[in-house]
Amino acid sequence: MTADFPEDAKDVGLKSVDALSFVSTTSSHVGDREMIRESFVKSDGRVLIVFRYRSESATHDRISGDDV
Amino acid sequence: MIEYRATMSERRYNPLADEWVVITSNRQDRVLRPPLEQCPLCPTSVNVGGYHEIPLEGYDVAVFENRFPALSVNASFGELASVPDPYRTSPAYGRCEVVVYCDDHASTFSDLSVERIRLIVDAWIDRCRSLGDDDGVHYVMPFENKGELVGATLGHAHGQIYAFPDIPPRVRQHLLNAERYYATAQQCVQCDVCAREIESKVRLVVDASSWLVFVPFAPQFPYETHVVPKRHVSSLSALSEREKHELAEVLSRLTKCYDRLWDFELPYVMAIQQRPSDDERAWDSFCHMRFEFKPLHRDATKIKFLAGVELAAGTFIVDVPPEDAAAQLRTALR
Repeated sequence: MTADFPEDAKDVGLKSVDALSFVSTTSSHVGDREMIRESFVKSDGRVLIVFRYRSESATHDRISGDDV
Repeated sequence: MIEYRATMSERRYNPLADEWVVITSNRQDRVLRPPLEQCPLCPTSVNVGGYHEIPLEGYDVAVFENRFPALSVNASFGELASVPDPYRTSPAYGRCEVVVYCDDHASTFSDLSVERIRLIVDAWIDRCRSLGDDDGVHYVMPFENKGELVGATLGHAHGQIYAFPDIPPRVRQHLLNAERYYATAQQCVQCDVCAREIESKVRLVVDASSWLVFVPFAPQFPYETHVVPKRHVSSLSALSEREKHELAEVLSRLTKCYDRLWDFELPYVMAIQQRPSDDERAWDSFCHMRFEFKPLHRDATKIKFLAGVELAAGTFIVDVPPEDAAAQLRTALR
């Protein structure tokens, strides 16, 4: 696994989401927005990171069932 | 489920050109232009039951490690490691990531909202910082190959990021040139170029408050453009919030302009050139970041092929005066 996880990542524990292990969620402020960064590990060990602004679609809230 | 294959990439040194090439046999079997219903970048709600790189019901911007990387942290020296000079080899160390712009298969970069492009900019910055922190990485380059003409193997809008173990040859030469110019003129060459473009106006396409878009004085392709911050900024991560937001607006306008030029989605190679990620030199003093867009068309129906003069001699022959190309792009911008 070659994931890079920020030191300030909020540890939410491993969760099985479909074929993914949900590793961490972090948020950061970019200007007047809050960017959410969700990291997953895929079944073959590769890393997947999903980015969104909190104000944009809430698609991923229903997937992770969690948020920061 | 398609199994993940370990990479077997290797770098080999070309002593005649003083540059490294990457030999990789693991990429020949990668998915090539699959039908829509088998697109690996589409969400699970669209590609039902197929292979998914992003197994989520939906997403905004997603980044994942390339399944067929040319550069890898698992790179091996291979059998040729012990052969003597001039045939040097080294592991093809590095990382290759895929940046997917949206979950809608039909959208291209030019269709995206400014808000979404801004999110892509923030994702690029996040990845450049993370990848650049790797001690084995010296240069991080986000880029996009848009369209089958320039080699995109998937139709779903996406770009890539390569984290190189060295500074690639063309980038290295540009940095050396910029350093030499700075040593002589005590000025950044890109800052001087921007001043000349603002003064002459003939090659300008967009003159925004913090960004310029212009056809270079000496381009390689007829409708090539450079997107350059007016302020001396060496990397994406050094941009101010205002510059990042205006960058998203400018990229939206430019990509729409390219599609309006001849009323079809214009294929191009887009690349972000910025400072190396190491601190080997005082890069910030003479390195001024830019986006390069290189469409291959020389008119609506003709392609600028790289042939004998370009590939063998390295001299580019451009069929359209840059000033004329800029005027056409300004018209398409409206």
